[in-house]
Amino acid sequence: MGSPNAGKSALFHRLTGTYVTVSNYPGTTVEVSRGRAVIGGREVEVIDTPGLYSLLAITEEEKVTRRLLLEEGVDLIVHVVDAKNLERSLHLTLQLIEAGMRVVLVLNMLDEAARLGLTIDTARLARELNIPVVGTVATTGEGLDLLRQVIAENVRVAG
Amino acid sequence: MRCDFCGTVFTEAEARPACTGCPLAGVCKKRKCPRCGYEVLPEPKWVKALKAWGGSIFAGYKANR
Amino acid sequence: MSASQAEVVTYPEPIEKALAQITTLLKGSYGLSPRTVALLLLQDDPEMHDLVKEREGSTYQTIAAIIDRTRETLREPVDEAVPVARQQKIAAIAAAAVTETAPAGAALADRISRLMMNPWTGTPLLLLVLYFGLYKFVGGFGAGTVVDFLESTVFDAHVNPWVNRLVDTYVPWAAIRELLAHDYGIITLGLRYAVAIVLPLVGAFFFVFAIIEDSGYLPRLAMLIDRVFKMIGLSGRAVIPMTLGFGCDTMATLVSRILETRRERIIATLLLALAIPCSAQLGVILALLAGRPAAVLVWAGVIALVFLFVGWLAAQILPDERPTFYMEVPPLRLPRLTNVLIKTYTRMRMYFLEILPLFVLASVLIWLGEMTGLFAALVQAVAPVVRAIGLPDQAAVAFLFGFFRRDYGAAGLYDLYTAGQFDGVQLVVATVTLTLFVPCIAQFIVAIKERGARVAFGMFLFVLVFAFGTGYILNAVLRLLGVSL
Repeated sequence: MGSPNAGKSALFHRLTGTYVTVSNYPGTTVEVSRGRAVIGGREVEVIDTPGLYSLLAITEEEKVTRRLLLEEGVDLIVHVVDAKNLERSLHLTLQLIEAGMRVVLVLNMLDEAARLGLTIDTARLARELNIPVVGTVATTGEGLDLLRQVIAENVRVAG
Repeated sequence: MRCDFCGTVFTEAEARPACTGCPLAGVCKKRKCPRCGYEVLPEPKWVKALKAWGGSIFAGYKANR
Repeated sequence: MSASQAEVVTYPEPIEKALAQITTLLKGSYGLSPRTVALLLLQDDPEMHDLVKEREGSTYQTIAAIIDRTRETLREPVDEAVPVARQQKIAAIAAAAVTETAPAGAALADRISRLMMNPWTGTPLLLLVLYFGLYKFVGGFGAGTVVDFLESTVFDAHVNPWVNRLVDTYVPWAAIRELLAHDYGIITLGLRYAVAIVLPLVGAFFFVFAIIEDSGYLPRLAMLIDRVFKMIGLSGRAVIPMTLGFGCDTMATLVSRILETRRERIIATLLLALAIPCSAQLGVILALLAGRPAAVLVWAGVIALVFLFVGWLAAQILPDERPTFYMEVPPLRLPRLTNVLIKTYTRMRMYFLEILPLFVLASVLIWLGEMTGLFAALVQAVAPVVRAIGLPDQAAVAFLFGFFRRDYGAAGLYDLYTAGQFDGVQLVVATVTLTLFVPCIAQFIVAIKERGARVAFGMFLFVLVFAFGTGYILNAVLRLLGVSL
């Protein structure tokens, strides 16, 4: 999950490999996409949620996402954020951690952030937040192998 | 494909097809960006084939390592 | 979850106290940590309130009382205090993990990007791009070098005489000889226009356009035009599709996306058909004007006036336009040569496949017209109009071609120009008129389909009158001033 336009859908598409609509219409990932991915030798269900900024649900999309979180028994949340807007996005990350979720933070669009002159120390960020942090470029696939590995390490065996 | 105007990345299936009403709509291979409507050129088949070929060589190289 | 992880953010004292109290009261399972549930309750999340009311029963009253008490003791509202506390934490984290250095390249790109969009610096930059990209490269290299070689060396010196001889020797029927060769033959005219004039010019244009496209300049151009127009109180919105269109269909669709009412769309379609040269035509026109800087200035000035007129009209018909046009601008990047070459190739291929049959068809139609005497009659009919704007009779042929396709007409003008039929003023008048001139047949068909025959024919007439009217006035003014270009 993640805020609108962070590249969730692109990443989802990369992870599952199944055909998924990659949409960039501001805030239009209205429907929830599901796909299967084989990560670390296990089959994992991946859910692409509508975009949201906060757990305090205001929009319809945010409500849908929160309901998903509460009702699906999610093992691991991959929180995708636009590395360019890290500070704004961390609000949700903190809320997720606070809520007791297992969270992996994905800093997407690292290339664009770098072009803007933002260097993000992922290791330091991981230590500060006490969760795994992975940097990716969903459009090129950079960092995806590492993300898969981190997901494999953090997804509990079902049950 | 990537829109040259607004930078949106989208798949060929998502793109809006050639404009209705144009007499060339049947043969026109151009696609429209789903966000801004700008016309984006498709990759020629041989370029796609070349990329796939290059990709497979690269994959083979990686597998061999 | 470990306690340290659940307590990522420490909130102001009253909130923390309330959280502690509420969390001990919560018995139900929510799929979220009690701390989060309590926080959401404090922030008056309606869904969470319903849920807790349902699962905690009578305890809910106690919780509600705690929430009320907290509100009273807290100086600011909870929904402000919570994000503020969180933001402080985030700022601390970001300060530790993020370093903001502006790498030389990025800073430079950013600076250039801003310069491109600022009206004062962006306009000269645009002129530079147009001058070097279009005038120098398309007009100079494309027209001067490539076309010259293909036209005079390949076709005029070798292909045409050879084809003419071949046809004269082996084809006994005069009618077929005329169809294939000589003045308006499929090979000597249709193929020559397509291969030797239009394609190289359009190719050069496509090459420059691909560079511009790949660099990410287009969205900045859109912003620039919008800002410039806004500065002078006009609507940039309607002009943007025009600048970016470069293909008639694109522009038409973009226009219909931006404009709501039928009336607006009709006016816009009309004005766009009028003022925007299609890329092919633009290439040929630039080639025509190459080497005559003053002529280019006059041509560009007239077209710019028409642009402003479009903006003015749009401002009249779009009163409640949204105040700012904003789009996220993708980063500027150095164009990649492979991208540029592939794009140029793709466009040229598509273009060539599109025009070749049309050019051949045009030759056949002209041949038919010649055979039946219709063509001569048409030329006779158009000649007075052409003469009225100060052009030689032969220009009528080019304008008739132009009905068929804009680029074909431009190629016809080019042919006349290389034959030494025009002086500078005539050249400018001819190019301006042709630029404003009717849409090509394809565009006309679209107009009929989309807007109905009546509207389309009305538009056709208006454009015709406007184009020749402008040509007439321009010719009169230039002659009166006694300028030679």
